Amino acid sequence: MMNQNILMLLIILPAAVGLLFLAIRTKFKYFQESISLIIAAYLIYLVISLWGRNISVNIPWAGFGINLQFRFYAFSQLITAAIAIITFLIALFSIKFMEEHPRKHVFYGLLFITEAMAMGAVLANNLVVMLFFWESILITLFLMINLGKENPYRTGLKALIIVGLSDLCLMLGIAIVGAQAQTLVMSYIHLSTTGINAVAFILMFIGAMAKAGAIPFHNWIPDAANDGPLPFMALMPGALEKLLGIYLAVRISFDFFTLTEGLKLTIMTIGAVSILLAVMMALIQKDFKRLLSYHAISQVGYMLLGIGTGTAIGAVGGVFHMLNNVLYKSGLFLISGSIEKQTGTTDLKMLGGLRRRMPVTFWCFIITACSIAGVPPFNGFISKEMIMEGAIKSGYHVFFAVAALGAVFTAASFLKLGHAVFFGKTPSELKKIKDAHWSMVIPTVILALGCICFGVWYRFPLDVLLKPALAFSLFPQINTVHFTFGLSELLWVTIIVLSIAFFNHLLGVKLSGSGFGASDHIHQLKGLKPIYDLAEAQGFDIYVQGRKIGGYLAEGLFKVDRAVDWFYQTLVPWVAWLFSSLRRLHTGLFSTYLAWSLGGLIFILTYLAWFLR
Amino acid sequence: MENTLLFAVLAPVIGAFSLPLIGFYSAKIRNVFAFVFVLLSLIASAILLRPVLAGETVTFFGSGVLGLDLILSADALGVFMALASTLIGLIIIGYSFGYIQQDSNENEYYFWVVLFLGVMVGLVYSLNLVFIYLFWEISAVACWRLIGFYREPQIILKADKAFLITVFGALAMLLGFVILFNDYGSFDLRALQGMVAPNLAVLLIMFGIFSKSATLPFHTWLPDAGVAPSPVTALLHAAVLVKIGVFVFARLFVGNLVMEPIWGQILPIVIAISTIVAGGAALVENDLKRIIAYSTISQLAFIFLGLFMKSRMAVAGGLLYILTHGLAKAGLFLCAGIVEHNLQTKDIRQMGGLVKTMPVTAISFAFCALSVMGIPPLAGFFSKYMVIAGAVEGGNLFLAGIFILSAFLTVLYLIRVFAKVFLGEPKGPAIKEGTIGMIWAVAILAGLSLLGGFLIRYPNEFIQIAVRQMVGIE
Repeated sequence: MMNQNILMLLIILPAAVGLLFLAIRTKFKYFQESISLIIAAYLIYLVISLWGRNISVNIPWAGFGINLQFRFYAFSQLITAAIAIITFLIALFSIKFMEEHPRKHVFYGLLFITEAMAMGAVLANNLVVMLFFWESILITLFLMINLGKENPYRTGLKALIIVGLSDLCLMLGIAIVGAQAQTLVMSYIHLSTTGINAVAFILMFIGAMAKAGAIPFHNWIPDAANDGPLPFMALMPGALEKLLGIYLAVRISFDFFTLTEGLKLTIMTIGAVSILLAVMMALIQKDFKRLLSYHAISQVGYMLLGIGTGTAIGAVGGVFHMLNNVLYKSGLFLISGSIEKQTGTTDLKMLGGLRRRMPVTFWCFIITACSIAGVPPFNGFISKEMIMEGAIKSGYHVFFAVAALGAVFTAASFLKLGHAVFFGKTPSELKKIKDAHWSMVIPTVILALGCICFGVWYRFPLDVLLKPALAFSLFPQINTVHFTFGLSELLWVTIIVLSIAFFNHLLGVKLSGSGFGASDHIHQLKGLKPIYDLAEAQGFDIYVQGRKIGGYLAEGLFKVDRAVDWFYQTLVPWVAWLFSSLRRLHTGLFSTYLAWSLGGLIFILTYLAWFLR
Repeated sequence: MENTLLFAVLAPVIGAFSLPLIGFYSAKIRNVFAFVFVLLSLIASAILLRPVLAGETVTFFGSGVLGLDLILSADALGVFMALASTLIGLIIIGYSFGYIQQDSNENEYYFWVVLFLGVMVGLVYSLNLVFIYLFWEISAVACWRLIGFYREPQIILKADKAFLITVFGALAMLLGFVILFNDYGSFDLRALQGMVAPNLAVLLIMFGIFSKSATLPFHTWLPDAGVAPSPVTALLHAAVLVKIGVFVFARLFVGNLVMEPIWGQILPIVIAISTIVAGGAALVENDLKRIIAYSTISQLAFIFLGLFMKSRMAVAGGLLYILTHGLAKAGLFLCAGIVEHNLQTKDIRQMGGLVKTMPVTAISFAFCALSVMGIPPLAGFFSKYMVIAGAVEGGNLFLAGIFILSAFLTVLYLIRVFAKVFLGEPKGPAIKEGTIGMIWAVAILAGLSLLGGFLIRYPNEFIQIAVRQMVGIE
């Protein structure tokens, strides 16, 4: 009972604190911030205090199988711990970053409400309850983007519509699963993937992908990087949405359903396309945050690829990559935030030579960038290796090749980024800047240390965190998942990948004369240039194109409506005319009426006579 | 208890006739009485909750000639509808105090509104087909007078349009009732239990139901009815009057009369076309109230979908939808009313940035819109899910897909209208919020939509009783 109450507290406490922050605005300096840190830390403590237990909660709710059912077990404890930790770090970072923001109390309120909803979605053991929390995040998503500068609402609406529509797909998918499995309790659902179940699988997977931000549901993320507040980027596209999306994707793929060969191929293709397209876009970006946002999409591709292989090592690698991504991607976003706070810009052209002026941030960047680029022995290297191994084991070597190619461009874009920001000449207006405030540096350092720990002591996340978490569905293959540092073929691949990236960078620098322009030679490549131009002009933006198509469709439907109305608008006057012409018969002359009455009587009598004959 | 039941109907019906008289003496007292008459009906229905929860059904029988007995029965369905209608009606009357202030004909306004709510309560408790028809037609007259409230020639034309379409539908329905009487010798629904309705009767009755609940191709009167004062639009054309059609369908065909299986094929096609066409039209329209009216047409099809399906969850979803949609859509219209009242325009192209000057209205509008979209934690989420899941359960996956498409459109047009009206840069002169009463009304509706999501347990438990009474225990 006690444990169940603590479990509920994980959802109720942040929700209550969040609502309180939204409602009340204190004048005391740092009062709200201190409360935030205490609560966020307490939530971490709560998750840890429940560690290793299996807890179930069942409270009657809406009926029809929709009950407030929650389950705390190895997988959900891992995700909830990640949520709690990342929320704490963002709260810490935001103290200084959001200090002058006029609506910072709203930010903290939304931060905790988002945490509550994410906790609820992960802990839920009932599909509708999960959907309830999952979809509620839409509102905080929109509102958080809205805290950005200069009319960010268009981006917010874009996110709201893309994610909202995909959540409706998820709703239909859940409805089908509920009907097919005859239960909504998640731990009881195990379906085949044939016939109608395949439709359900695809619909649910759309929901998971859209949350995680895979192509083609990604378009709002780069826009949000421009418009939204930075802690939001580090929190949502950087961490929470990946955690939720991949969590659900794993549950769908290995728990609720069994993957068929065709579905595996589909998921791997989506993953591969996401990796490649997003990383190609990332490569040519000239803004720190926007570049990172494309990597946020590209990394989801790796996770999906790993899951799509259907192999134990690929799936574990995918989930490991998700955890690693939280560490280095949030870390990188926070670094961009520190730089934005100190220099006032994230435009790569305005930055340079910050390695001397912001040394701690610089070293954190090196660590996180090496992690994302897959440099051994950092964490990204290990999970990427596992995904690649899974791709080879799946039998489709092409996906392995795509993953390797994606790694080349990832490394290249971070070489360019690091070069442009931390090396080269310092612009004169940046001569006097110092490293960020300690409250911003500490979360970054923690994340960077995490990257090292999860890399060097990879056995801890692998054996202690991941294997128990995934054992529920991948048993007994999970025991075959191993990783060792060694001179395997995959290590050679990594060395080749990193060398190509490095020499490509040298070539780019030589051609353009600066780190800033290190990707220009690829941008201007003959075959790629028109594609890049079209992409920059939103030619591939599902939202922009979908709006056009939707507009035509709606116009057509409106015409149908008008046609029906036209019928009434011409019919009604016609009837009215008919009646008014009848009125002309009412002349007021008694003889006329008499004639009419007689005529009527004759008509009735004839009718009756005919009827009774 | 029988007297309580009769009182629930008679308090507003008889009370309505006293309102113009009181109004000549004092407008304020009249307003209070209008509120009280509806409140009394609400309380009476609330008292009836007790026997219903205990599994009993209170019935009032007043015999008449030629089978025209007044039979009122407070079963779970009736009490649910009566409570939903009077609760929303009460909030809208509160809102009217601020809205109808400067207009003439105030006495007539309150007379019709209270009378309408009275006949609505009468209709939902009636078990006699002729009385259902009678209450139905009185509501049509109320609707006609209230749409034409501003008495301009153009407006009166629209009122006539609404009246003609719904009355022709009702006459067709009456013919259907006569056919039923001819076949089974009774207007009493209890006597018709389990009987097979002849196809012609079903066709005629569906004419009436679809015209009242504004379903394609009998829907165009509803967007046009937006010329009425906003509280009227909210009460009649969003929350209560348009639910008469769906309610009568539930009363007649869910667990009472039996339809030939062929209708199970035809009717879903009609509502599927209706929901998509109306959703598309809402995306193109630029008149604030017309958009919301199209949205109502589109959402009514969801209620029908729930009631057409044989699964218990779908029927429950349909009933819950009546409540959640009523609350949210009334809120939307009332918010639109505040905007229209203060801006003197209904064209969304001339609006923008109102969230800065009208924050309460904007937030209330947002919550109500989210509820209509079916986004949690708002109550609309559950009704939408239950209807869709019920359709899937009934084996109509394709139909469920079409309705998800319609839900897409709902998200799109409601976000579009919210963005155009409340976000972006202000286009006109700075305007103020509505009066206190109006703001409270919209805030309460938004609050109920929000609270309903978390406390879904209570309405749903009651609806489960209603469904059990209607279709029996599985």
